[in-house]
Amino acid sequence: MTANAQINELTAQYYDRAWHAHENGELVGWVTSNFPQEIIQTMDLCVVYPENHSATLAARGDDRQCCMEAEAEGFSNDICSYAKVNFGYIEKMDEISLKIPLPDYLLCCSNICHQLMKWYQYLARRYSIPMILIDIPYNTEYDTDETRLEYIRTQFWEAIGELEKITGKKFDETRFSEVMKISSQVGNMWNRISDILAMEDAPYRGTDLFNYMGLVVCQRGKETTLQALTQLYNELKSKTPRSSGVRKKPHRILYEGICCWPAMTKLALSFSMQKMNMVGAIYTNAYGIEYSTFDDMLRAYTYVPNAVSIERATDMRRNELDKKNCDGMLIHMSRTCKIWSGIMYEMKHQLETTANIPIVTFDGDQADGQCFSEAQYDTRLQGFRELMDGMMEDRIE
Amino acid sequence: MDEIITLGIDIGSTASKCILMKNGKEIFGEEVVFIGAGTEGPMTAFDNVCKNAGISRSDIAFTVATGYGRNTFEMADDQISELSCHARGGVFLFPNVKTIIDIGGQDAKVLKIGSNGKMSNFLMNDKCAAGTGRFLEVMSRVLNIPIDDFAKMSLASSSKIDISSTCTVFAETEVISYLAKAVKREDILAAVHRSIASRVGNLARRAGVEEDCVLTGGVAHDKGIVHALEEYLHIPVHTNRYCQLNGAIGAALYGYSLYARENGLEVR
Repeated sequence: MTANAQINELTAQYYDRAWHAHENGELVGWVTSNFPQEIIQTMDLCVVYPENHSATLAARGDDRQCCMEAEAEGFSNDICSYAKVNFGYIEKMDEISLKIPLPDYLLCCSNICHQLMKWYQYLARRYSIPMILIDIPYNTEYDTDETRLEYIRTQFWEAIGELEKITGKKFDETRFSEVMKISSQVGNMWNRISDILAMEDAPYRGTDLFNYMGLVVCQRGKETTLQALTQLYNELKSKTPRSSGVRKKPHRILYEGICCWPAMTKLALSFSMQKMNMVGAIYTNAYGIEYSTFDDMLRAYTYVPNAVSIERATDMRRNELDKKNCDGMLIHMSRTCKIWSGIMYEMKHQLETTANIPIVTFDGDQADGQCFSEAQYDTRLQGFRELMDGMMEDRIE
Repeated sequence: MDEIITLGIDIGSTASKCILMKNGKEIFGEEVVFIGAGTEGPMTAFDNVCKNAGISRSDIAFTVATGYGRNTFEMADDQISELSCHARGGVFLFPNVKTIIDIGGQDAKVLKIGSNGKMSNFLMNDKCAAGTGRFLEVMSRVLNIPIDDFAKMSLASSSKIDISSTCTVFAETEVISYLAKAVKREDILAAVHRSIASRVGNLARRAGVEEDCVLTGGVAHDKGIVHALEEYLHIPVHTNRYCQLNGAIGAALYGYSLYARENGLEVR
């Protein structure tokens, strides 16, 4: 079986389990994307990820209907569009073809943003269900200190105790050690897949990472995920370079910000048309979490790329630009992700002072296609390519 | 043919602009038609500029299209973004230019020019009509003053008021409320100009404005904007009678370079 077939099968099994959870005496949890999934895998909980679901709905073109419905319900059009799509979905789920089952409990970690807390509080109130919160505030430190770790550590064990009561499942520390090991191996394999793009002739399109990432978001701590990713890595390594024999090599770009899911196909096509390969994405890197100890794991959850100190965040990007030998950086200013887009003006400025490459922004949104203008995007992307062409010509001259 | 004739066409959201050039050096034809992408404007501009210059289509060695309608103009041999074309045109008109501010019908952009005379960076407005030509059109309608009269009236302002709203629609409401209070239209117009100047000026400051600074686009004909920008940026802002045709000039220049490259010619 190919890696792609394995990934599709794992995804199908994952949703199948959620849909039959109640028949099998299980509860369904809704969980935020960067909640410590080691807890979930250790306790073998049945969960789904609404952010992932909203992204998929946006990529399928269901975003507009969901956003309009949420706004009609009274939610501001300025709130996170992942939340907005989710609110629209729960109102109109009969009309949406791609469904996820409703939750019996909620797992929320605030390490990627604080709007998640309000999103999940609303759901908890609406369905009268328990919500477990692990609060990891915006990390203003370059290196996470012990005080912050202790704050998270305490909540970590409290969350497990609460979950045991809610689900009736037990947390086994031996299994926890195994899950941590597998999770780190999966993180490592994910990073290795991404690092293949550092090759001069990258053998695959970096935008494919957006397609694969659902697996590492939802099933990072599983042996089956490790197997599928290992096979994917081997398949990609053995592929012929995409630009082999092509006279003019594609420009190598780093993509910054959340994927603009409503225009994802457009993005992939336009990169191809403008002779660019996305060889790195800070967004997908967020799931390449590697660690060796329990404290390292907790620390890793404080280094989310959109919610760390500007110095560390900028270094993350600088390192990726160097590692992937990028010719340019394209920044998606996602209208409703204030926490991520808000830091970009200053970060762009800081990167421009050291990296001698074009850095260009475009406006869009992670899940509300109404915030994306195709013509404006096209002009920026073409101008970006022409800037890189000019710099390339100068290097050759 | 001794002379290589190239045509540049800039198809914007509100106007279609054409330039004819000889050997990538001399402008000998120009045309502006005040309808843009998706209309018969581009073809009308193309035909008119040829007719007025006394040439036929077959005399044109190479045509480059730019602007929002660049991808759909069938007469073009190639298309290049308006960012690169405005940079190239700006350097042609102002050899010492370092910053080009272009205010178009639906966007505003700031282009930085490097020491090699090429675009080194650019910034564009976000998805909003504030600080663009559309903003002026809306104000022209509300104030019932032709855009051509804006400069004269704005420069005659004697009292300073502010338009604080960024949003074009809310700014329109502010203007209406000033009219209701019988504020002089000269003062309102000057405030409109300052509003655009601060919006676009901030974009320029973010890009790192350097002299020589040039304003292009049809809006550059409005001396009130030029004055407001100079006051906001504290540097001279240069314009040229070809400011609205700057993108088309860049396109015609690219046309010459592309033709020369394709035919193995030395660029004269």
